[in-house]
Amino acid sequence: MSLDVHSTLPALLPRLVAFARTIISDPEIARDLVQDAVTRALGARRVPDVASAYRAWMFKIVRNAAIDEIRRKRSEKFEDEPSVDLWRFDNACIAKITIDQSLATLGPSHREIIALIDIAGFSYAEAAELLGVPIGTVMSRITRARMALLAAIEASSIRPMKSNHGS
Amino acid sequence: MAVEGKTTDVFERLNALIDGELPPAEHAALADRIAADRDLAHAHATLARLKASIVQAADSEPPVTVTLARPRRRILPVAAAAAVTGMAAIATLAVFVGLREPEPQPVLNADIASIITLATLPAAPVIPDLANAGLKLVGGEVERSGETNVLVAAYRGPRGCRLELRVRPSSAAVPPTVGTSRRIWTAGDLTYELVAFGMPAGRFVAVAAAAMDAARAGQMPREAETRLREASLSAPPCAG
Repeated sequence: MSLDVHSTLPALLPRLVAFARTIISDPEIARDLVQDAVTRALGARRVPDVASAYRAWMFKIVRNAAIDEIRRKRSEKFEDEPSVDLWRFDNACIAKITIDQSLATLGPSHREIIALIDIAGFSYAEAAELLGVPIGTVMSRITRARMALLAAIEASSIRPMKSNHGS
Repeated sequence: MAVEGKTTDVFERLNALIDGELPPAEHAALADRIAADRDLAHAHATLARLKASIVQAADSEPPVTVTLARPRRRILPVAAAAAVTGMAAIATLAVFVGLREPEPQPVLNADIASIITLATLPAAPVIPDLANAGLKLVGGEVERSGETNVLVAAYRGPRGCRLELRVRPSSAAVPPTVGTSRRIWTAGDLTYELVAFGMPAGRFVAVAAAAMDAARAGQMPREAETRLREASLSAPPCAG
């Protein structure tokens, strides 16, 4: 194994942690998962030697670990179909605090597709390959997941502070 | 408005648009519709803001360090050790890793080997054995500083002494570090920075000199080991 194989890993770490945290919701467990994934990756006998494949491989290791963790918890199984008026949504509600809070209320598959597309930055084709589903499924899943997230933000009692500028 | 029927199709294409997944022709057509339709423009802006905020929230995670500190019952794969060359200098170290744990835990050399692998420095660093100065290697981690990886090795003494050895590429700048004593030197392609917290000055000078000799020679010289022992015996307890 070449030392260079893992050279991109440190730069991936923040997104791997954010990815795990989005799926798991618990920052401590997310960091532990990533740490275990790194340990596993460093000990792997066969490692992809192309950067894009290596990146997908690392996210897949973290994803599998996260799914195992969710299965252990067995507390989240169902996802309600959201209802939100996208045409009239109050964009001022979208802020880091509401994103963090609302992501945690989503079901695992909604969190997972958001983590893959928005946080890991995978294309629909890459996400489809990783999930083993058609691209069209990724397209509909990310749409439903974002609608669910907007609905959760709208339903949240948390509101970001309004700026007084211009008032 | 529920996501149903035609609306679903529009929403999916709006999402595909902000994800850069629409073919050019569809992209242009939808962009034209957005320009002419206030509601559609609002929905597009909402989704774009949502995506940007998710990315921003992810980027605002606390700085990430990976510490390969293992609980006693878990053993790291040894393959990583085989991946690291030029590690003779640390091969006989009694390695302890466990910064997050109250008691230093003995682990395999593979742990420090994994940290060295992860750091991907331009040369194999020498992590000196300071046991003769009463300082045990208790942890190691890789910090990301801008575009540079910094390998951090932590040492602890039985009377409260704390030392950190930071190794980075010699091309990287060394930022200010909080500590009571500091010494910086280069060896090959690497810059070493030894920082002490509360260690008496005389003892630190001896320890730093030995660490520098070890880094430059690739192993701890015998006379440096003697100096370490002497410095340890005569020094008062650390203050930090």
